[in-house]
Amino acid sequence: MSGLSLQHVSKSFPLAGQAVPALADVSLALEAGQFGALIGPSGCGKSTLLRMVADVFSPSAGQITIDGAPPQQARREHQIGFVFQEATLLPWRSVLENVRLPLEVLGKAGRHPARSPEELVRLVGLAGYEHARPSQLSGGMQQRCAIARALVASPKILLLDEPFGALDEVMRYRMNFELLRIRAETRTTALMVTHSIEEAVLMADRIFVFAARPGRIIETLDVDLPRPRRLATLHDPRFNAIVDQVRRALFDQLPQALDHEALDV
Amino acid sequence: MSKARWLLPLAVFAALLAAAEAWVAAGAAPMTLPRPSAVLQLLWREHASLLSQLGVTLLTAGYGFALAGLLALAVGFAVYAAPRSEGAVLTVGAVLSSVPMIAIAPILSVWLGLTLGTRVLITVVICLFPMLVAIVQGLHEHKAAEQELFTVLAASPWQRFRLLALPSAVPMLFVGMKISAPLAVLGALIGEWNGAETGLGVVMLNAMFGLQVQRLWAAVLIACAVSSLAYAYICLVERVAGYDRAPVST
Repeated sequence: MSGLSLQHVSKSFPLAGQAVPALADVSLALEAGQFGALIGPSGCGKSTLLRMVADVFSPSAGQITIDGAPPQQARREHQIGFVFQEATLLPWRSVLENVRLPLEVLGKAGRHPARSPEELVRLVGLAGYEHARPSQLSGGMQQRCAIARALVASPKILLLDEPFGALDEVMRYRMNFELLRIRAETRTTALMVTHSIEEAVLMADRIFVFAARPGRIIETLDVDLPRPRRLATLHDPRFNAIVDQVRRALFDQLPQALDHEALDV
Repeated sequence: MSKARWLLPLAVFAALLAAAEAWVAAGAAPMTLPRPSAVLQLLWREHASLLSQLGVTLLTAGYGFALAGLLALAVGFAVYAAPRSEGAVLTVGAVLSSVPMIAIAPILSVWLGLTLGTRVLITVVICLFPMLVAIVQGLHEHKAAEQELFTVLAASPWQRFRLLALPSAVPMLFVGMKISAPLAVLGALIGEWNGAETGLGVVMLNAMFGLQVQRLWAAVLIACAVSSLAYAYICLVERVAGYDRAPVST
């Protein structure tokens, strides 16, 4: 099976001798080349889910496959690109050297990448900044560099953990369109965690709305807006209708969540 | 570097020297304090022989410093590969560094002989600990997200050390080297006090027992200058390498 598949995935963390559930019975599927967005309240386990797909840690139960392979295999075969909330560039390396890092880790296998680091630097709009240090770049430029790094080894899946959460709204939209443009070229399967409903609707083919305690999917929405998506998409009545739908799904859970907290106290 | 950084210390030293000169000239100073001008004259007169003696000391200091650096690096990697050993390693290092070298050096000389190797060993023991602490501490100087990045990249432990931990540790390594560089000169001198035929330490000993006060002070001045220069040299390397500013991490 190609694409990403999670079946009945659960994760609990030990806390004071007890297993605290972070995610409960999450199932989702993305076809190869699709863009998925995870949206939900803080602490609902979205980032945890992303890290399990990246094999940073393993699920307590359930099965994850990336193009049919378990995450351990995908990671060992360098099939995962990850963009963190902060750019996480190595400050002593230039832009180009940062983008090249995954190829260096690959060693021999990284000598003939499908796209050269130079090409990717251009693709993310950093031409002319190849030899700049990360500290000389703005937050948005740093994140572009991190995206180029995540794509340089041609991964099967691109995982993005609130990559534009620290940017202002205008810059965030600019980066959204940049990422749409880059993805139109690379067609990598992508899964992004976000707090912004508009961002999720603008980027995704499929949106997974999460509820917290324990983290679980309460609604899956297919976004049928045509591609390529442009600035005009934001004014499409269909866009706003889907934004409303996601918002309703998110807000529906609020009273329950509040009750739940009240019970906890 | 601002002028004030050089001018003020220079002025203070010049004033102290002038005061000492006047004090001795007035005949009020003890006989163990020579005229600074006489010391400077001796430095000039005997600079060739003093420099060759200094060369011997610097060789010992250099070997000791380099060996201590390599040893610290090797132990640093071992601690990085087996994090649970960190506490034990640092404890052993702390105990080792707390041994009063000046008292132990004669015993080492008896055991190992009056050789260059013994003097280098003394130097290594004296300047190892600051570099060891700096490396062990420095290898932690990267963020959790950077660790995760290398996990996602499926990097080997050696790649993680070489591409992430070691470069992150460089600013701390410079801190350790800045402390250790003057200590290396001190270590070489202690080694020479315990038995050597040549070296600045030998010049000091001979001058002390021969009551050659000017010569003793001249040797002390050279030791001070060389220790400061060792520190300044590390600072210079740090500057050239671009690590003198706090790194802006992202």
